[in-house]
Amino acid sequence: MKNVCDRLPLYLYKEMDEQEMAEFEKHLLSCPECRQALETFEDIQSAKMEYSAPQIVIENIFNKTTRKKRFWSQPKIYKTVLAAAACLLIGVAAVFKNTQTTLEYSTAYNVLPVSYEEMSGMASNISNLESINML
Amino acid sequence: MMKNLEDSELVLMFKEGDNKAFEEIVLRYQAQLYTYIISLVKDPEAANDILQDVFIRIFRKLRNYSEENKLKHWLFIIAKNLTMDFFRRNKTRRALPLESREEDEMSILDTVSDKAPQPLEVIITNDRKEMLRKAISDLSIEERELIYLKDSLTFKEISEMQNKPIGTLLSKFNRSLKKLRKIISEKEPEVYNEECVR
Repeated sequence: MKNVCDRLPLYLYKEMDEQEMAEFEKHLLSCPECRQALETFEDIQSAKMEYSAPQIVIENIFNKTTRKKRFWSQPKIYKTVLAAAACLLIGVAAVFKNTQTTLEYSTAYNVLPVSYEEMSGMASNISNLESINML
Repeated sequence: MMKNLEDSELVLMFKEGDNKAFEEIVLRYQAQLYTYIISLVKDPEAANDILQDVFIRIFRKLRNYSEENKLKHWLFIIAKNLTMDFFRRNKTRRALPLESREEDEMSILDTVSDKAPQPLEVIITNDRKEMLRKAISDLSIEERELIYLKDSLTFKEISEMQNKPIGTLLSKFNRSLKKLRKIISEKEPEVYNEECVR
Protein backbone atom coordinates (compact mmCIF):
# COMPACT_ATOMS: atom_id res chain seq x y z
CA MET A 1 0.00 0.00 0.00
CA LYS A 2 1.41 3.36 -1.03
CA ASN A 3 0.11 5.52 1.81
CA VAL A 4 0.91 4.49 5.39
CA CYS A 5 -2.20 6.32 6.64
CA ASP A 6 -4.40 3.98 4.59
CA ARG A 7 -3.31 1.15 6.88
CA LEU A 8 -4.76 2.82 9.98
CA PRO A 9 -7.85 0.53 10.16
CA LEU A 10 -5.57 -2.54 10.25
CA TYR A 11 -3.76 -0.96 13.21
CA LEU A 12 -7.03 -0.09 14.96
CA TYR A 13 -8.23 -3.69 14.77
CA LYS A 14 -4.80 -5.19 15.44
CA GLU A 15 -4.77 -6.96 12.10
CA MET A 16 -1.03 -6.34 11.72
CA ASP A 17 1.93 -8.31 12.99
CA GLU A 18 3.94 -6.95 15.92
CA GLN A 19 6.60 -5.29 13.77
CA GLU A 20 3.99 -3.53 11.62
CA MET A 21 2.19 -2.36 14.77
CA ALA A 22 5.42 -0.86 16.14
CA GLU A 23 6.14 0.88 12.84
CA PHE A 24 2.64 2.29 12.70
CA GLU A 25 2.93 3.60 16.26
CA LYS A 26 6.02 5.55 15.15
CA HIS A 27 4.01 6.90 12.24
CA LEU A 28 1.24 8.01 14.61
CA LEU A 29 3.67 10.26 16.48
CA SER A 30 4.28 12.25 13.34
CA CYS A 31 0.81 12.18 11.77
CA PRO A 32 -1.91 14.39 13.36
CA GLU A 33 -4.49 13.20 10.82
CA CYS A 34 -4.12 9.57 11.92
CA ARG A 35 -4.22 10.62 15.58
CA GLN A 36 -7.50 12.44 15.01
CA ALA A 37 -8.93 9.41 13.22
CA LEU A 38 -7.78 7.24 16.13
CA GLU A 39 -9.65 9.52 18.59
CA THR A 40 -12.81 9.38 16.49
CA PHE A 41 -12.51 5.61 16.33
CA GLU A 42 -12.16 5.33 20.12
CA ASP A 43 -15.19 7.63 20.54
CA ILE A 44 -17.47 5.59 18.35
CA GLN A 45 -16.24 2.29 19.79
CA SER A 46 -17.19 3.49 23.27
CA ALA A 47 -20.65 4.52 22.06
CA LYS A 48 -21.50 1.51 19.92
CA MET A 49 -23.89 -0.89 21.56
CA GLU A 50 -24.49 -4.55 20.99
CA TYR A 51 -28.22 -5.19 20.94
CA SER A 52 -29.47 -8.55 22.06
CA ALA A 53 -32.51 -9.98 20.32
CA PRO A 54 -35.62 -10.15 22.55
CA GLN A 55 -36.04 -13.50 24.32
CA ILE A 56 -39.34 -14.09 22.53
CA VAL A 57 -37.49 -13.93 19.20
CA ILE A 58 -34.97 -16.54 20.37
CA GLU A 59 -37.84 -18.76 21.56
CA ASN A 60 -39.58 -18.34 18.19
CA ILE A 61 -36.41 -19.39 16.41
CA PHE A 62 -36.16 -22.53 18.53
CA ASN A 63 -39.87 -23.29 18.09
CA LYS A 64 -39.52 -23.04 14.33
CA THR A 65 -36.32 -25.08 14.15
CA THR A 66 -35.03 -27.40 16.86
CA ARG A 67 -38.28 -27.58 18.83
CA LYS A 68 -40.60 -27.75 15.85
CA LYS A 69 -43.24 -30.37 16.66
CA ARG A 70 -43.17 -33.47 14.52
CA PHE A 71 -46.39 -34.93 13.07
CA TRP A 72 -46.66 -37.68 15.68
CA SER A 73 -46.13 -35.33 18.57
CA GLN A 74 -48.96 -32.96 17.68
CA PRO A 75 -51.53 -32.03 20.38
CA LYS A 76 -54.58 -34.26 21.13
CA ILE A 77 -56.95 -32.30 18.88
CA TYR A 78 -54.79 -33.06 15.85
CA LYS A 79 -54.66 -36.74 16.83
CA THR A 80 -58.47 -36.84 17.11
CA VAL A 81 -58.86 -35.22 13.70
CA LEU A 82 -56.32 -37.67 12.30
CA ALA A 83 -58.19 -40.66 13.81
CA ALA A 84 -61.51 -39.41 12.37
CA ALA A 85 -59.90 -38.97 8.96
CA ALA A 86 -58.47 -42.50 9.16
CA CYS A 87 -61.92 -43.96 10.06
CA LEU A 88 -63.50 -42.10 7.16
CA LEU A 89 -60.84 -43.42 4.82
CA ILE A 90 -61.36 -47.00 6.00
CA GLY A 91 -65.15 -46.58 5.55
CA VAL A 92 -64.75 -45.23 2.03
CA ALA A 93 -62.36 -48.07 1.20
CA ALA A 94 -64.83 -50.67 2.54
CA VAL A 95 -67.71 -49.26 0.49
CA PHE A 96 -65.51 -49.15 -2.56
CA LYS A 97 -64.38 -52.76 -2.02
CA ASN A 98 -68.01 -53.92 -1.58
CA THR A 99 -69.07 -52.22 -4.79
CA GLN A 100 -66.17 -53.80 -6.60
CA THR A 101 -67.10 -57.33 -5.31
CA THR A 102 -70.67 -56.91 -6.51
CA LEU A 103 -69.44 -55.82 -9.92
CA GLU A 104 -67.07 -58.79 -10.11
CA TYR A 105 -69.91 -61.16 -9.21
CA SER A 106 -72.28 -59.83 -11.83
CA THR A 107 -69.52 -59.80 -14.43
CA ALA A 108 -68.67 -63.39 -13.62
CA TYR A 109 -72.34 -64.38 -13.69
CA ASN A 110 -72.86 -62.95 -17.16
CA VAL A 111 -69.94 -64.82 -18.66
CA LEU A 112 -70.58 -68.20 -17.04
CA PRO A 113 -71.36 -70.80 -19.75
CA VAL A 114 -74.40 -72.10 -17.87
CA SER A 115 -77.81 -72.05 -19.54
CA TYR A 116 -81.13 -71.60 -17.74
CA GLU A 117 -81.92 -75.30 -18.42
CA GLU A 118 -78.73 -76.43 -16.75
CA MET A 119 -79.49 -74.15 -13.85
CA SER A 120 -83.00 -75.57 -13.44
CA GLY A 121 -81.42 -79.08 -13.53
CA MET A 122 -79.07 -78.01 -10.77
CA ALA A 123 -82.02 -76.69 -8.79
CA SER A 124 -83.91 -80.01 -9.12
CA ASN A 125 -80.76 -81.87 -8.01
CA ILE A 126 -80.67 -79.70 -4.93
CA SER A 127 -84.35 -80.39 -4.14
CA ASN A 128 -83.69 -84.17 -4.59
CA LEU A 129 -80.84 -83.92 -2.16
CA GLU A 130 -83.05 -82.07 0.31
CA SER A 131 -85.74 -84.83 0.01
CA ILE A 132 -83.04 -87.52 0.63
CA ASN A 133 -81.88 -85.63 3.68
CA MET A 134 -85.46 -85.48 4.95
CA LEU A 135 -85.66 -89.27 4.77
CA MET B 1 -20.12 -27.11 28.14
CA MET B 2 -20.96 -26.32 24.52
CA LYS B 3 -19.79 -22.73 25.04
CA ASN B 4 -16.18 -23.91 24.85
CA LEU B 5 -16.63 -25.65 21.52
CA GLU B 6 -15.45 -24.26 18.19
CA ASP B 7 -18.02 -23.38 15.54
CA SER B 8 -16.81 -26.26 13.38
CA GLU B 9 -17.40 -28.73 16.23
CA LEU B 10 -20.93 -27.41 16.76
CA VAL B 11 -21.68 -27.78 13.06
CA LEU B 12 -20.46 -31.39 13.09
CA MET B 13 -22.51 -32.17 16.20
CA PHE B 14 -25.60 -30.68 14.56
CA LYS B 15 -24.99 -32.76 11.44
CA GLU B 16 -24.92 -35.83 13.66
CA GLY B 17 -28.37 -34.90 14.97
CA ASP B 18 -27.65 -32.82 18.07
CA ASN B 19 -30.14 -29.93 17.98
CA LYS B 20 -28.61 -28.41 21.11
CA ALA B 21 -25.54 -27.59 19.00
CA PHE B 22 -27.73 -25.49 16.73
CA GLU B 23 -29.25 -23.71 19.72
CA GLU B 24 -25.73 -22.87 20.91
CA ILE B 25 -24.97 -21.37 17.48
CA VAL B 26 -28.12 -19.21 17.79
CA LEU B 27 -27.16 -18.02 21.28
CA ARG B 28 -23.56 -17.42 20.25
CA TYR B 29 -24.34 -15.22 17.25
CA GLN B 30 -27.78 -13.72 17.83
CA ALA B 31 -26.48 -10.46 19.35
CA GLN B 32 -23.81 -9.86 16.70
CA LEU B 33 -26.27 -10.53 13.89
CA TYR B 34 -29.09 -8.58 15.53
CA THR B 35 -26.85 -5.54 16.04
CA TYR B 36 -25.66 -5.77 12.44
CA ILE B 37 -29.21 -6.07 11.07
CA ILE B 38 -30.63 -3.32 13.27
CA SER B 39 -27.79 -0.98 12.27
CA LEU B 40 -28.93 -1.40 8.67
CA VAL B 41 -32.72 -1.45 8.93
CA LYS B 42 -33.10 0.83 11.99
CA ASP B 43 -36.32 -0.96 12.83
CA PRO B 44 -36.40 -3.46 15.73
CA GLU B 45 -39.50 -5.29 14.50
CA ALA B 46 -38.04 -5.79 11.05
CA ALA B 47 -34.75 -6.87 12.64
CA ASN B 48 -36.64 -9.47 14.72
CA ASP B 49 -38.22 -10.93 11.58
CA ILE B 50 -34.98 -10.91 9.60
CA LEU B 51 -33.04 -12.54 12.43
CA GLN B 52 -35.61 -15.33 12.67
CA ASP B 53 -35.44 -15.87 8.92
CA VAL B 54 -31.63 -16.01 9.05
CA PHE B 55 -31.58 -18.81 11.61
CA ILE B 56 -34.45 -20.73 10.00
CA ARG B 57 -32.55 -20.66 6.70
CA ILE B 58 -29.34 -21.72 8.41
CA PHE B 59 -31.17 -24.60 10.13
CA ARG B 60 -32.47 -25.88 6.80
CA LYS B 61 -29.13 -25.63 5.01
CA LEU B 62 -26.59 -26.41 7.71
CA ARG B 63 -26.69 -30.20 7.27
CA ASN B 64 -25.42 -29.80 3.72
CA TYR B 65 -22.94 -27.03 4.51
CA SER B 66 -19.40 -28.19 3.90
CA GLU B 67 -17.29 -25.21 5.04
CA GLU B 68 -17.66 -25.67 8.79
CA ASN B 69 -14.80 -23.25 9.47
CA LYS B 70 -16.57 -20.33 7.83
CA LEU B 71 -19.83 -20.47 9.76
CA LYS B 72 -19.69 -16.90 11.08
CA HIS B 73 -18.82 -15.58 7.64
CA TRP B 74 -21.78 -17.52 6.17
CA LEU B 75 -24.18 -16.24 8.86
CA PHE B 76 -23.36 -12.65 7.96
CA ILE B 77 -23.75 -13.32 4.22
CA ILE B 78 -27.24 -14.73 4.82
CA ALA B 79 -28.09 -11.86 7.19
CA LYS B 80 -27.01 -9.38 4.54
CA ASN B 81 -28.96 -11.12 1.76
CA LEU B 82 -32.15 -11.25 3.81
CA THR B 83 -31.72 -7.62 4.86
CA MET B 84 -31.38 -6.62 1.21
CA ASP B 85 -34.52 -8.66 0.44
CA PHE B 86 -36.27 -6.67 3.16
CA PHE B 87 -35.22 -3.40 1.54
CA ARG B 88 -36.39 -4.61 -1.87
CA ARG B 89 -39.78 -5.54 -0.42
CA ASN B 90 -40.10 -2.26 1.49
CA LYS B 91 -38.86 0.39 -0.89
CA THR B 92 -41.36 2.92 0.47
CA ARG B 93 -39.96 2.42 3.97
CA ARG B 94 -36.55 3.67 2.85
CA ALA B 95 -38.15 6.78 1.42
CA LEU B 96 -39.41 7.91 4.82
CA PRO B 97 -38.37 11.45 5.75
CA LEU B 98 -35.23 11.69 7.85
CA GLU B 99 -37.16 12.90 10.92
CA SER B 100 -39.20 9.70 11.01
CA ARG B 101 -36.08 7.58 10.75
CA GLU B 102 -34.50 9.61 13.53
CA GLU B 103 -37.48 8.87 15.73
CA ASP B 104 -37.13 5.19 14.95
CA GLU B 105 -33.48 5.27 15.87
CA MET B 106 -34.24 7.05 19.12
CA SER B 107 -36.96 4.57 19.97
CA ILE B 108 -34.44 1.75 19.53
CA LEU B 109 -32.17 3.48 21.99
CA ASP B 110 -35.05 4.10 24.40
CA THR B 111 -35.89 0.43 24.54
CA VAL B 112 -32.42 -0.49 25.65
CA SER B 113 -31.56 2.45 27.89
CA ASP B 114 -32.02 2.29 31.62
CA LYS B 115 -34.97 4.41 32.75
CA ALA B 116 -33.88 4.58 36.40
CA PRO B 117 -32.63 7.95 37.75
CA GLN B 118 -28.90 8.42 37.14
CA PRO B 119 -26.16 10.77 38.41
CA LEU B 120 -25.47 13.87 36.29
CA GLU B 121 -22.09 12.57 35.04
CA VAL B 122 -23.70 9.38 33.81
CA ILE B 123 -26.44 11.34 32.07
CA ILE B 124 -23.85 13.55 30.31
CA THR B 125 -21.85 10.48 29.25
CA ASN B 126 -25.02 8.77 28.03
CA ASP B 127 -26.08 11.89 26.12
CA ARG B 128 -22.71 12.02 24.42
CA LYS B 129 -22.87 8.33 23.56
CA GLU B 130 -26.32 8.85 22.17
CA MET B 131 -25.01 11.72 20.05
CA LEU B 132 -22.18 9.48 18.79
CA ARG B 133 -24.61 6.69 17.94
CA LYS B 134 -26.72 9.23 16.10
CA ALA B 135 -23.61 10.30 14.18
CA ILE B 136 -23.03 6.68 13.13
CA SER B 137 -26.63 6.42 11.99
CA ASP B 138 -26.09 9.48 9.77
CA LEU B 139 -23.52 7.54 7.71
CA SER B 140 -24.57 5.86 4.48
CA ILE B 141 -25.84 2.30 4.70
CA GLU B 142 -22.57 0.91 3.21
CA GLU B 143 -20.47 2.87 5.70
CA ARG B 144 -22.64 1.77 8.65
CA GLU B 145 -22.47 -1.79 7.45
CA LEU B 146 -18.67 -1.74 7.38
CA ILE B 147 -18.44 -0.11 10.83
CA TYR B 148 -20.70 -2.78 12.36
CA LEU B 149 -19.32 -5.73 10.41
CA LYS B 150 -15.89 -4.86 11.77
CA ASP B 151 -17.06 -5.83 15.25
CA SER B 152 -17.39 -9.42 14.10
CA LEU B 153 -15.27 -10.00 11.01
CA THR B 154 -11.74 -9.22 9.88
CA PHE B 155 -11.06 -7.06 6.82
CA LYS B 156 -10.02 -10.24 5.00
CA GLU B 157 -13.34 -11.92 5.83
CA ILE B 158 -15.35 -8.85 4.79
CA SER B 159 -13.31 -8.66 1.60
CA GLU B 160 -14.32 -12.26 0.78
CA MET B 161 -17.91 -11.65 1.81
CA GLN B 162 -18.35 -8.53 -0.31
CA ASN B 163 -15.98 -9.59 -3.04
CA LYS B 164 -14.04 -6.34 -2.75
CA PRO B 165 -10.27 -5.76 -2.40
CA ILE B 166 -9.05 -5.07 1.15
CA GLY B 167 -7.59 -1.74 -0.04
CA THR B 168 -11.07 -0.54 -1.05
CA LEU B 169 -12.46 -1.47 2.36
CA LEU B 170 -9.62 0.31 4.18
CA SER B 171 -10.20 3.47 2.15
CA LYS B 172 -13.92 3.31 2.84
CA PHE B 173 -13.26 2.84 6.56
CA ASN B 174 -10.91 5.83 6.66
CA ARG B 175 -13.44 7.95 4.76
CA SER B 176 -16.14 6.93 7.26
CA LEU B 177 -13.94 8.01 10.18
CA LYS B 178 -13.33 11.38 8.55
CA LYS B 179 -17.04 11.80 7.88
CA LEU B 180 -17.85 10.87 11.47
CA ARG B 181 -15.33 13.38 12.76
CA LYS B 182 -17.00 16.08 10.66
CA ILE B 183 -20.50 15.13 11.90
CA ILE B 184 -19.35 15.06 15.54
CA SER B 185 -17.48 18.35 15.29
CA GLU B 186 -20.66 19.98 13.98
CA LYS B 187 -22.62 18.61 16.92
CA GLU B 188 -20.11 19.49 19.63
CA PRO B 189 -17.62 22.00 18.18
CA GLU B 190 -16.06 22.92 21.57
CA VAL B 191 -14.69 19.41 22.20
CA TYR B 192 -13.13 19.04 18.79
CA ASN B 193 -11.80 22.60 18.70
CA GLU B 194 -9.93 21.94 21.97
CA GLU B 195 -8.44 18.83 20.43
CA CYS B 196 -7.34 20.77 17.37
CA VAL B 197 -5.54 23.34 19.57
CA ARG B 198 -3.67 20.54 21.36
